[in-house]
Order: sequence, then C-alpha cells, then structure tokens
Amino acid sequence: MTGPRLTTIVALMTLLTPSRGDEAAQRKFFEQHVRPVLHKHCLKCHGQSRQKGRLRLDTQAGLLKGGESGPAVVPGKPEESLLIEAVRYESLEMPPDGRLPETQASLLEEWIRSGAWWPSEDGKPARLSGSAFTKEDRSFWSLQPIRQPKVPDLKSSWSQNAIDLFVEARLRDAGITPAPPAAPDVLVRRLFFGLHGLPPGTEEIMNAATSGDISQEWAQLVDRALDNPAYGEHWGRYWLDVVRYAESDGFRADFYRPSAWRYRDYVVRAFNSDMPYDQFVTEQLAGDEVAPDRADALVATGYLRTFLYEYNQRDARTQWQDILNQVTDVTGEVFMGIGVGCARCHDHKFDPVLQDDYFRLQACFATMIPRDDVPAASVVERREYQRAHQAWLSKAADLRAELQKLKAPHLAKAAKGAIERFPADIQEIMAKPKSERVPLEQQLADLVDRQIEFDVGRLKYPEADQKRIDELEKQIAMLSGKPPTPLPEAITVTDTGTVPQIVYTAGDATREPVTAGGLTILSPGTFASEPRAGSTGQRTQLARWLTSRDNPLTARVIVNRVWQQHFGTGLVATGSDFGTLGDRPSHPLLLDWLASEFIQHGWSIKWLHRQILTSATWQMSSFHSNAEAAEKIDPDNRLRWRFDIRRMTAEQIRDSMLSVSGELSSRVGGPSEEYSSMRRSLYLKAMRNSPEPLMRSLDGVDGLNSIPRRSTTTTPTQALNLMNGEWVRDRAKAMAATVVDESSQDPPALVRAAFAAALGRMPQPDEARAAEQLLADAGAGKQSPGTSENYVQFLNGSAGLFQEGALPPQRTRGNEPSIKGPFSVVLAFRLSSLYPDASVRTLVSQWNGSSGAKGWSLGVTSTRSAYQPRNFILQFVGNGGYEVVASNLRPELNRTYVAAVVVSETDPDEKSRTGQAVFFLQEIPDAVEQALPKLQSAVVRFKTSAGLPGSFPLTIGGRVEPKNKAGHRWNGRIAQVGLFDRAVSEEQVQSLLSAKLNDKSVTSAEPLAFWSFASMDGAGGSPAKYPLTGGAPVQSPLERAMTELCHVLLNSNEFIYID
Amino acid sequence: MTAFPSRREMLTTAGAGFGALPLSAMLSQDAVADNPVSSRLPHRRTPATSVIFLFMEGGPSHLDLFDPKPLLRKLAGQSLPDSFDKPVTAMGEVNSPLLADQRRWAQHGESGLWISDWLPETAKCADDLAVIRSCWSNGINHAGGVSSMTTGSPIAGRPSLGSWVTYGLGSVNENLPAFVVMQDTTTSVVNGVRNWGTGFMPAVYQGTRFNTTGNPISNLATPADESAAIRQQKLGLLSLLNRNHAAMRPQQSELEARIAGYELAFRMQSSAPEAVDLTQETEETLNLYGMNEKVTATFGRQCLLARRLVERGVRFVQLYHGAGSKWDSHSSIEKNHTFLCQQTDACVAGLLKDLKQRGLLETTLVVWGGEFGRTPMSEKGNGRDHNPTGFTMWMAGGGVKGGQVIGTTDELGLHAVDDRLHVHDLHSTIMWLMGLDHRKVVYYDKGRPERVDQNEGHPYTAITS
Repeated sequence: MTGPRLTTIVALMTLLTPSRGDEAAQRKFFEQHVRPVLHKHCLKCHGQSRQKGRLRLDTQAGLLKGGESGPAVVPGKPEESLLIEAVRYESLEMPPDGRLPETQASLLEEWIRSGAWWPSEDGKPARLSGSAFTKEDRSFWSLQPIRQPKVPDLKSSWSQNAIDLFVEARLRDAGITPAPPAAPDVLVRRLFFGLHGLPPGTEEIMNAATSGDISQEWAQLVDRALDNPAYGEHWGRYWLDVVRYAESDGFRADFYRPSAWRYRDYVVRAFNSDMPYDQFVTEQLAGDEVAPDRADALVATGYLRTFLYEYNQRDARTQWQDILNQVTDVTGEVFMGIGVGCARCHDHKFDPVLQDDYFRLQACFATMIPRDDVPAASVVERREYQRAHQAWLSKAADLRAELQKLKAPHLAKAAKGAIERFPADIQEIMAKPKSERVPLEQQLADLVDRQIEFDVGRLKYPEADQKRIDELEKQIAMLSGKPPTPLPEAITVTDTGTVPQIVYTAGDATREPVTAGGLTILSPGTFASEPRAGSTGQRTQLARWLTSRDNPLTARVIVNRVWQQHFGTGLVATGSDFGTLGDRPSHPLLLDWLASEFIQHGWSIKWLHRQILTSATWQMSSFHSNAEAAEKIDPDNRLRWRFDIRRMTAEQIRDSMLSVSGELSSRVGGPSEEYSSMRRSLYLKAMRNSPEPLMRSLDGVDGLNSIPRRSTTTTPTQALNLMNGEWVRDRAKAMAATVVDESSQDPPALVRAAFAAALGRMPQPDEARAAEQLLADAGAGKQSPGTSENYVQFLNGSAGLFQEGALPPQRTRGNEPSIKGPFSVVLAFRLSSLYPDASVRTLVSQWNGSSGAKGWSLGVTSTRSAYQPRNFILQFVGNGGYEVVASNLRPELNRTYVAAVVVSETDPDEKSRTGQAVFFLQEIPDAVEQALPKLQSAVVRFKTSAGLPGSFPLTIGGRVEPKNKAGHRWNGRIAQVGLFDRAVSEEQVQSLLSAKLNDKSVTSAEPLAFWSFASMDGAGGSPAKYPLTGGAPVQSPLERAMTELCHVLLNSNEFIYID
Repeated sequence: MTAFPSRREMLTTAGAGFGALPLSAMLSQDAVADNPVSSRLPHRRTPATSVIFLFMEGGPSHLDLFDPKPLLRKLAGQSLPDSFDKPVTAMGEVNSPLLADQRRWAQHGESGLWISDWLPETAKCADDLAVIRSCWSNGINHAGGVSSMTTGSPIAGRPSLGSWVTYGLGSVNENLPAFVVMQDTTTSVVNGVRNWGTGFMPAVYQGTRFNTTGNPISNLATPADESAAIRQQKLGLLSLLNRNHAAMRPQQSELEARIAGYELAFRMQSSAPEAVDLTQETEETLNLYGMNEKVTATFGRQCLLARRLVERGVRFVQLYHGAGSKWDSHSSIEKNHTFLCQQTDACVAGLLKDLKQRGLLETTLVVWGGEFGRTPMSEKGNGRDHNPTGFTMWMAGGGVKGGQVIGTTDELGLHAVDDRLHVHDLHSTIMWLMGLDHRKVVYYDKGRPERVDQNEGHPYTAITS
C-alpha cells in the first residue's frame, strides 16, 4: 500500500466512522446486543457455511447487499431494513423456530438506527465467525487426529533411529547433507547441560575426550543421566516456566507463599519418576478429584494456585473473575498450545475458538475454591491428626471455652467492621447462611474472609481483656502440653461441592448458560455431568478430554516442547501457539510419529528423551562443512542439518558457576531460599516483583507470564553484571581457591586446571600464554590499587565479606573484651541485603539474643522490623532490661558507610532514662570525586546503660548463636572495627569517620581493640589481644591472581554457550 | 508505508508469529548495525522524540490541584448524592461525607488554566500545559493502578509503555539505555521492577534503573580491587577466548552480538557517568531546578538528570516522585500534599522552562500524573481515598498544544464525563505523539497480536490543536 492511498483511506474512514467517543459505546452495544443475536439465531443458515436465500449476515457486505429479497440492513433506517421486518414476523418470519423477544428486536432496531456499527479488523470489516467453522478451520493441521505415520523407508548409513529417518528424508529432498557427529566430549557436555542443566564432571569429559568413540556406552550414559535427580530439577524448571510458577502474590505486597514450593517439588518428582504425562496433566487439573487421599495429587493442584492475587482487593467480584481468566488462559496455553485469551471478549479472530468455548473451558474451573487448609497428607494421616488435635483441644476445654467467649464479641465486631467496607451486594452475601450461598458466592465470601482474617489479625483487645487472654493462653498451654505436630501445609483447590456454578458467556446473564467443555471444533464440545467425591468432576472431565487419545493437541504440544528443549527450536517453533498465527511443523510426520509413539509408550517423557538423545539428529555437530550452501536453502536450520549452539539459561549459568566454583549444594527439594543461597537456582525464592537481578539480566522468568521458550538477549546490564557484579566475582574467588588447592603451584599447570574446570578442555597455546601472563601480572602486585585508592576500594579490598560461602561471624574466644560502662564502637560497613523477616543484620555484638541475658548488639533492622527496615539500632540488655535503641538513621543497601555509636550514662540524678546512645552515620560515595554526603547523627535516650557484665564473646557479623541455628547475621562487608571502653568525644568520632579512615587514625585514638580483616595478624590494632576465630578467607597472592583468570573464564562465551 | 522500510521490516518480522524471533533474526543479520534497539523511523513525522514521564506515585488529588469543583464546597459534609454512581472504593468509605478543598484557585497564563495555590510555579507554565481532566483507569488499589498506568493492565505481566516505545522506535544513543527510570527515594516503587519490565517481550526493551547519586547503574564500576591495568588484561584474554570460540563457529553470529554487547557495556561505563555528571551544569541551571533548596534538591536533581538524558537521546525517562505511594493521602491530605507539592512544583516548572529555553520542549513530551486521583468523599475525616474513575494528568511539549483543558469530570470530580480518556487512550496518545501508530506496533505472543492498548485505545489527536 502506498503512502497517498493510505492517507485517502484514512480520510475516508474518518468520514464514515462515528466520533471516537461514540465508537466505544457502539462497539459495546454491538458486542452485547447484536453479535450474540446474530450468532445464536441467524448465522447457522446465513453464515459462512450456508447462505439460505443467498443471504449472509456474518459480513458487513452481506448485510448491506442482502439476499434474494433485498438489503437486509439499511444503516440509519430500520424501517427500510428487511432484517427488522423479518424478526418482527412482519413479512418473512425469522428466525423460523420462534420469534425473538421484543427487547432483542428493538435493540437490533436501535443498532440500525444508530448506523449499524460493524466491527473492523486490520482496517477491514470483520467477519463474524459464527457457530459454523470454515472448511479451513476444520482442516487446520493441529486439529487433525494424530496420525501413525510409517517411518520412511530409506537406505541410510547415517540414521540411528526413526527420528533420523524422518529428518534425513526431508534433508535429502532439500539436497542438504547432515553435519558430522559431534566429538564425544562435546556430546557429553551437551548431554549433561541438556538433562541436568549442569556441567558434567571433568572426569566424564576427559574420559570422553580421550575415548574417541563413546557410541557403545552412550545409551547407558543417557540412562544414568536420566536417573540422576538433577534431571528433574532441570526439566521441572521448564515446566514451571510454562505454568508461570512463582512463590509470591505479584501485587503490591507481593506476599511470599510459604508452602508453594511443594508444587515445585511435585513437578521435579514427577519428572524424575517419569510420571506418565496424562497422569501429570490430570493431577494438576484435578488431583483433588481423582486421588483425594494422596498427598502428592493434592499438592499437584498447586498448578491452579499460581494465579496472581491481591490480598486487599476491595472489588472481590472483579478479582475472582480475573483469577478465573488467568487459570483459563494459562490452561489453554499450557496443555493445548492455544492462546485462548482472545476469545474472552469475542470469537477468536484467527483461531477456531469461540467465545462460548472460552467460557466452557472456564466453567471447568468455575466451581473451584482455593484451599489453604488441606494439608499435604493422606486421608489416614489427616484423620489421625484430627483425632490427636481434638484430644489436645479437649484438654483445658473449659478454659478454651472461656477464652473463646472472651474473644468472640471483639472478633465479631472487627469482622463486622471489615465487612462493612465492602459494597452492598457483597455484604448481602456475607449475611447469608453459608449453606445458602451458591458456589460463586462461596468463592467471593472466601476472598472476603481472607481480608477479614487479615484485619482481625491486627485486632487489639482492651487492656483488661488482653490481660485475661494472656493468662488463659498461658494456662491452656500449660495444661494441654505440646500440640500434635502439624501436618505439612499446602496450597490446593477443591470444588465448593457437587453443584456446578452457572457460567454465562462473558458473564452476560441474558445469554444462555454454558456447560463445562472443551473446544467446540474438537467434539465433544461439552462434558456430561459426573460429580465425584463431593466435587463436580468438571476438572477431571477436562483432564480426561485433554488426555484422550483423540485429542489432537495434548500429545503434540508436549512432544514438541520436549523437542524444543533439546534442539532450541521446536518442530513447531511456537511452542504455545498451535493456532493459525503460529508456526507450521517443520516435520509434520515426525511430530505425529513422536506423538503417537509417545502415547503408545505410556506417555513416558523419558522414553521420548531416549529417542531423541540416541538419534544421529541430536548428535550432530554444530559445525557443518558446507554451511553456507545449506543456509541458502534453509537459513533457520528448520530441517536440522546441524546442531544449533545455544546460550544457557539464567539457571544453567548460575548453577554452572556454582558447580565449577565447588560451592553448589546438592540438596534436592525443600523450602526455597534467599538469593544468597548456594543451592540450585530452582530453589531460590521466586518473588514476582523482585526477581534476582543476575537471573533477571540473563532472561530469567518472573512468573507473570507463561513462557514457552526463554528469550536470549544481549544487554549491557548482563555484561556489567557478569563482569563487575560481586556475585560472579565471588564465584571466581571460590573457584580459584579450589583450583589452587587441587593443583600444583606451577603456572602452566594452574592454567590448565582452570580451563579444565571451567570449559572442560585444555587451553590453546595462545590462550595459555595470555592466561599465564595474567596470572603473573595479577599476582605480582599490578593488582594493588596503589595511591589512587578511594575508601570504597579500600573497603572492598580489606574488609571481611560476611555471607554464606565467605566469612561466618567472627568471635573472640576465651579472652573477651570487658565492656562495663560507657563504650563506643566505630566501624565501616556495606550491607548487601536484609532478611525478609524481622531478624537483625548484626554488625558487632556481645550477646546471644536472649532478653534475659545481659549484652549489647549493634545492627540494622530488616524487612518486617517493627522499627521499619534499615534502622541502625542498638539492642541493649542492662540493668534496665531489654531495650531497642533505634537511631532511625537508615543506611541504604550496597552503599559504603563509616558509622559509630557512643553509649554513655547521663543525668545520674534523673531516675529514668539515663542511658544515652549517640549514633553517627557517614556515607562514603563510590566515586572518589564526589562530595561527602552530610554526616547523619541521632541522640537516643534509653533506660540505662549500666549493668553490662560483658560475658559474651565479642562477635563481628553476628551474635552468639544457638547450636545449628544461624541467624541475625550480617550480609555484606565489615571493616575497621574499633571498640573503645569509654565514650569517645564527638570530635574524636568526627576524625575517626573522616573520609580516609585507616589503621593509623583508629589506633591513634587508642581503642581497646581493633580488627581489620585483611590483616588478621594485627597490623596497627590490638587483635593479638583479642584474636578472632571462625575461619578466615584471606586470599594468597596466587589465589587473587587465579581469581582474575577464573573470572575471565566464567565470562567467556564458551562457558555460557552449549555446542 | 513503503517509505519506512527498516521499521516496517522490523514490525512485520515481529508479526510473522514468532514472539522471540525478531531478536535472533536481527542479530543474525548484522549484530551491531541492526540490533533490536537500533533507532527506527516513526510512522509519521512528529516533533517528539523523547518522553519524560513524571509519575507522582500514590495518586495526587485532581480536586485540589487542577480540577476545581464548586459543588464540592457546597455539599461538603453531606453524603454523595444518589445521582452519582457509587464506585467500589479501596477503603470502603464510599458513604463518608464529601470533603471540600481548601485551596485558593486562580486562572493562569493567557490561556487562563485553573491551577490551585499548591502549584504556584507550575502555574507559571500554564500556557504550555494540556490539562486532561477526564482520565480514568481500572485498578482501585496502588498495585493495580500503578500497573495500569505503566503497562495498561492492573494485573502484572504486560510490557510497560516505555518498553513499547523502545520497541517501536529503538534508541538513538546506544551508549545509554533507551529507557531509564529514576526514583526519589530508595523505597521500592509499588510493584517494583515490573513497572519498567517487558512482560512477554524480550529483556532488551526493559527500563534501566538509574541511581541519582553515585554510580548511575548497578555494577557499572569495575570492582574496587581490580586495577585498570588488570582489567585491560582481562578484557584482552576474554576477547581472545571469545574470538577463538567464534572463529571455530563461523556461522553463529549470535556470538558476535554478545561480544559487541560487552563492548557496549564498557562504553556505557564512561558515557553513563558523564550523563549524570552535574558539575557541567551552571549555578543558574541548578537554581532553576531548585537544587539549592533542601526541599526541592532531590526531585530537582532527577528532573535535571532527565533533561540531560533526553539531550543525549534517551527515548523514555520515567521519574517516580513519592516512590512507595507517598502521594497516597488517605488522611491529612493538607499536610501530605502541601509537602509533596513543595518538593516537586519548582522542579517540574524548572524542567519545563529549561527544556523550553534549550529548544528541547518541542522534541520532548512531558507527562505528569499519578496512578489515579482522589475521591471527593473524605476518608478518616481529612483525607481522600483512591479515585481511578476520574482524575487529571497533563502533557506538555512534544507537539502538544499548551494552555488547553481536555475533558471534564462530573460536578464532584468523581467520574470522568466528557472526552473520557482511559489509560489505554493515554498510552495510545503518547505513542501517537511520538509518531507511532499504536495499532501497528504489534508484538506476537502465544498466538495473540499484542498491542500497547489491548486493542482498546484511541489516540486523542486533538491534543495538538
């Protein structure tokens, strides 16, 4: 289309269409009142497939042109429009099976009077798809039954199995020869990265590299790799991408879902145990219906709990509809590979999915209700627990009754107040007895109840009542003893009962209700009612329909997903779009052969892996001797004439780094962990609103959308993260320590060891030369930053890094500095993260955390602290008991500070609040040239600073911890800790905080003790007097040099690409 | 349409049905020259080349700033009359008495725009502002509201407006990110990073958070214990490894793209600090943005940084003021808004004046607003609840005709009435002002042709005349 013509058309359109404000209203009117009528009463005979009387009403042209009797519609003139005559039974009597209600007829009339607005699509009037599908719709490839194609009968010396014959047949037709097989060491790496998402052990690689031919043991190697639990961890992750798994709500508060991980573990186990895919599908959709007594099957319905949820959404109706929409959309994408979302508002414009279909699908879920109270346990276990729990409750029953009675009016009042904030219709529902609520009302009430619970949870009882409540609770606890161990919690769903919720298309109750069902074009469209076990059975029916042998989509979609993960691109490149806008299969026969054999082999994913991994197709090299010619014929390698190299996923990269650094934890399953964890990325908390930054920069997923295929982008953020980020550098450090530990000190040997560990190969001569040079230079002191060093560099270079994998808390042993009265602490720090709860990030302490034990602790509060996060605080237990002395100064994360606290006693005459803490906080900007921000300070009074016996060891980076219970630890750097057994004057503090704090300026102030972590042996301080223990990560010059080499290797393309 | 081959080619590739393919396709053609964020021609010639979006997070009150309602004073203390549709309000105080505003109102500039005494400096720029009084949105809570304003949907998962603009137009300065986000406090913006995320699009289009002090981008600086000499040597070895690796894989040009990505990152190491180096600015300029006054220093700095970024070709700058819902005045709106207006008024006016005197206002579209407005009904006696059904935003520069009022709310400012502009319409309008036909900027995701407006928006083209 040329420019000028476009302009003309646009101008014309502007003349024809009503003003924009009206248009939205007109469209709404059409969708509400016109389309449904045409759809229901007219299009069967006057649509795409039949045009009785040569009339078709599914297009604007057809409407205007009319049929044998003349124009059906004259815009603006209902009186001249045959359509109106007909529906009023004035001349023709249409529809023939019964006259339209007058309201519908007059709505049609109004539509024509206002200009007979018609929807458009890409600038052209749209065609209403009507209930009848086109021939093209019906013959669309993905909707055809799965064939059982014969394996091509080729004489082939190349092919290893059936897959290869299908592939070779197409390659021969195209005149391309396949690439040669990849070298054994390449195959081994490919296999392990592909199945485990982790590098193989160096030994495996080296064996393969020297063996020359591994085809003999290949099948066993594949089996062994499939038997390793790392397989499920890697492949489960892919499934979690598709179902957009996350562990948080995804709204403002982004609350963590503490038991969501059970579903993640279920998925991992399903892959590891090779659970038949049809069972896997069924349990996720309807585990509560098909196996209500099996814990695993209940947990599987966690799939239906991946929706985003806003805990304080006042508009419960919209929220519930959103939840259903999310579940419907994702289910269509995940299992059917069809983006059904379009059909929520109109018949799908491109795919044969009707709006009714969308709501039929939705009806399958419309009776479900989220359950947080069904434990992940068998029925027997639950019954036993109930019994034990009842027995426990029956102890002190009278006291419990009194407690209940005391609380009840307050609770009721709080609940009433909470309910009154909801709109009137919701209040009505809440006023109804539970038994009278229809499913939708139960679901809405459940959403409201969750909010009430939240409000009531913050209820404050009157003082007198609270006192009695405390007493009662204490007595009850004493009398009842320990409660039975609770069963594992899970988030699941069940139906509200056996009666299905009535569902209308688009929620429009003027239309006829829809019945649960699948896609109309794939008969049977609707499911027969089959309630089971207190449930409607609709989700089971859906699962049965999806996993029936006749369903053309389910097996093709999953087989294609597995293929895609092995090759980078699926046989259908659009893994979650098997519709008309999606890709067409590159090897339709192969896809069907795989799908039908997959079903034959019991829906076994591992069977599928074996087929693929033992094929010559998968074993091809990524080098092709005549790639240029092949690229001309098949530029995208859809015919598979070579293997495509691929960048690893965020998880593969992070996990591989941990693996080669020797830090990776091999623990499988369990609750998720903080981002600093050394476990596989699968086990990091999946927070929707705050994804881990390194993972995010490497195209990791956030659990907001179903992701059928990760994108691979190259952004500066990524390079900056990998090359400058602390995390990767720390892995390089750890890796360096391992390499240096395990190899001789001879530089060429060290370089070889580093290459072998990172890349599984020996260096080329030019690489070896450059690497040895780097080792030599970095080790010889080029490294030392010299005189231009700024404070931040100094801190990074000499501070202790307190985190998992680096320094644990450091403490004095046996010879504790004795702090009695006034004292001061000066130190420098950089904080990397907060705890998600109210734990304190502790800088220095002499305390074990017990409010009954005298001591003190200086630290920074975390996320859920009552003192707000990042509050620089002193916790103090002296003669005045436990006190939190909060400065309300708030150090930022990842910035450098020098800080001080001066604790003293003032006003000895005054009876109360004689303790005084003066806090100082000075930020040191990262950039040398930048001016110092203002010094912040705060004076806080508290009960008394007297009474410190100082019996606990002085601990830096934490407290004295109970056995096996790490907590309240620092995360980040600490340096230059000076402890003074007196109140240092403000001037002294100022000078100590001055921009270039160094050993001398601290020692000249004569601290009682001084610790610096780069020089543990005590340059300039008195650590010899109070030595710290706890393990020192001091790097030798060789390790520092090796760190640089390892850092480069971890950044190399070779490290993060799989051949 | 043949006049715009490169953009068109880009968009039709995207339209061929492979969500992530345009990227790899691009990279495989010529990794450096034709990268996915390289600059593309717009659909029509417009003056605007950049956007500065001043996001007042938490929801400023239109009733006390730009949309005076005499009836509100008259009915103060009474309940909402039955003639008004009762919305579902976030805190459920829909029946609380109406709260009169306490402002002095005046008409400003030649155009005579009504602006309250809370914004005396902005008022001096009245003739540059197109005040849209008829905005409406969906989310009744902050998460949904902010998500709607940034992505068009109250539920997470869609690309942000800045991502769509970057996708449609690319970047003209590849040494800086095309889409930059800054915030005034370190409290997380509601919803966090997903407000500038890309939803289902690849990450190249996502916003980059700039710190307003120190190093602008996280991990921009070489680690402190690594000297320049060693860094050079390391990059040398890295380059050798990557070149050897690529040489053995001649047809895999994605590798070249990644090598180029590293080079870009290290160019950014010098260009990003330069962009935020305010020592190059005169005292007069610093004063203009209020940087010498304590109360305005923080946001003034951000506004000035925004100007420096658009000067350097950054496409979309989003500034969050009041990050963490500070404008959310459920109680004591007087105290809350007095302070926040003081923090921003002079800075915003300074930005407009500075852009104008440098000739940048013509090419820079400035947008001001929050995720919603506030209710005429009181909450907790002296505050106002969230009001997504009718609120005010304004636009200036970038071809917008100043000194006009667009649309109206009802007599109490509860619902938008005339020329109602939904968030989708606002986004379409911003795209349109940037020269993009929002209907043609399509990204295919799982079988759905996705657009910024979910096929519901219309640009309000009368905004330029």
